[in-house]
Amino acid sequence: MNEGHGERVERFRVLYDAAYPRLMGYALRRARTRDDAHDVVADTMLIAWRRLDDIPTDERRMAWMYGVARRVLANQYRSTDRRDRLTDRLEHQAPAKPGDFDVVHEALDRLRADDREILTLAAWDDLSNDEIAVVLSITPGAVAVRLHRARTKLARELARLGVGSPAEKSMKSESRSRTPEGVYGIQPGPGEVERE
Amino acid sequence: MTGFDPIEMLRRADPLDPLEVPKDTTGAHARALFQEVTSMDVKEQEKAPRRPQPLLRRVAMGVGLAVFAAAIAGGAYALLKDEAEEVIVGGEPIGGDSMGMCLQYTEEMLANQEFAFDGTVVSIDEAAPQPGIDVPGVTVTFEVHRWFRGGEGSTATFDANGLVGETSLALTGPGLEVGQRYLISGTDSFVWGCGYSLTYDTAVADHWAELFAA
Repeated sequence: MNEGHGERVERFRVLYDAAYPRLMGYALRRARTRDDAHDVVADTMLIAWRRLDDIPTDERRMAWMYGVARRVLANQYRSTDRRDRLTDRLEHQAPAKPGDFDVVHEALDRLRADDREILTLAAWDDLSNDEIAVVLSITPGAVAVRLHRARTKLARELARLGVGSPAEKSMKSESRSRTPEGVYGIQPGPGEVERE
Repeated sequence: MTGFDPIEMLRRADPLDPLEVPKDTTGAHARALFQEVTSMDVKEQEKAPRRPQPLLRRVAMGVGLAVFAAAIAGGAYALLKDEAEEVIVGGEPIGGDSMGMCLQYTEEMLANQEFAFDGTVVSIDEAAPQPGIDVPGVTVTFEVHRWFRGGEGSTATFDANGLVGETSLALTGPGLEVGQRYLISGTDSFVWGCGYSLTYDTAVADHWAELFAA
């Protein structure tokens, strides 16, 4: 495409205005410090600027940006060579924590990294299954299965910590549900807590 | 009976103060970053400038871009894992997801399956069509690497109507293929698709081992 610099800037501006707030939220929740979060967003935007012609122009473009930010963040993790608990490394905490805040994060921290990732993409970044599929480079079907599994594991950990009912029921209406009679009780798993 | 929704609990436990997240790009940082980025050459070999008061403070930008390029080429991988373990990433539902003909996937139903195993397809054969079913009958023989429930021995054959190649009903996911490895579950003599059977995935296999042992 033969376009002038000004035209490219304007094309990038549209993407930037939409992506910047969302990527800042994504990075601030996951980076070790606020400065690291700024680095993640800066690097992601630079990649987007240089790869502008490769970015989808449809509803997948935001998921594409998240995918880049994810890889930039992973590289940042490798370079710092340590992982901190999410709540320990955040400089800015929610001003008013709900009563079960610490328990929820304790349960979350007990999950595998990929389970934590898919849950937080859905819950905090508010991505749809289709968007998560683009971010993780898997199919929406796989997202649905993995998200369901991760959700079940989180519920189990919460139950172990004394939060909520061990009998979980989906809050979404599913007309084709054929859940068998009775409820499958969440059994304690074999021993060891899964951690990275 | 109403249970709790762990996703909703997680949403309420967002650690980020909403006031800390910029709502738009009118702030000083956003404006400065935009100016910085759009002043950069679009050619990839140029590294980000290093400055005493950097907005683009990344060291070794070329490394970051190489990781990005490799990740795009390499497909899905758990980049956030710390350990370099050998894992197989799959987990694609056979025959599609929740579209069309699929039952909703639930862990309860999976846990109640009569058989489940980790296996590789060794042959696919035609069978007589089932009464009332428009697609040809298909049986699939597996080399079983590991039984989670409901069987024994190193091979097993099941009906797999609609889960093979062009006869796949849902048309949105992979079908069973000779030589490919899967996690298979089902009831009676029928393999179930739609999340109840998937392409092999190390993490899912671990989960099935735990689920069916419970």
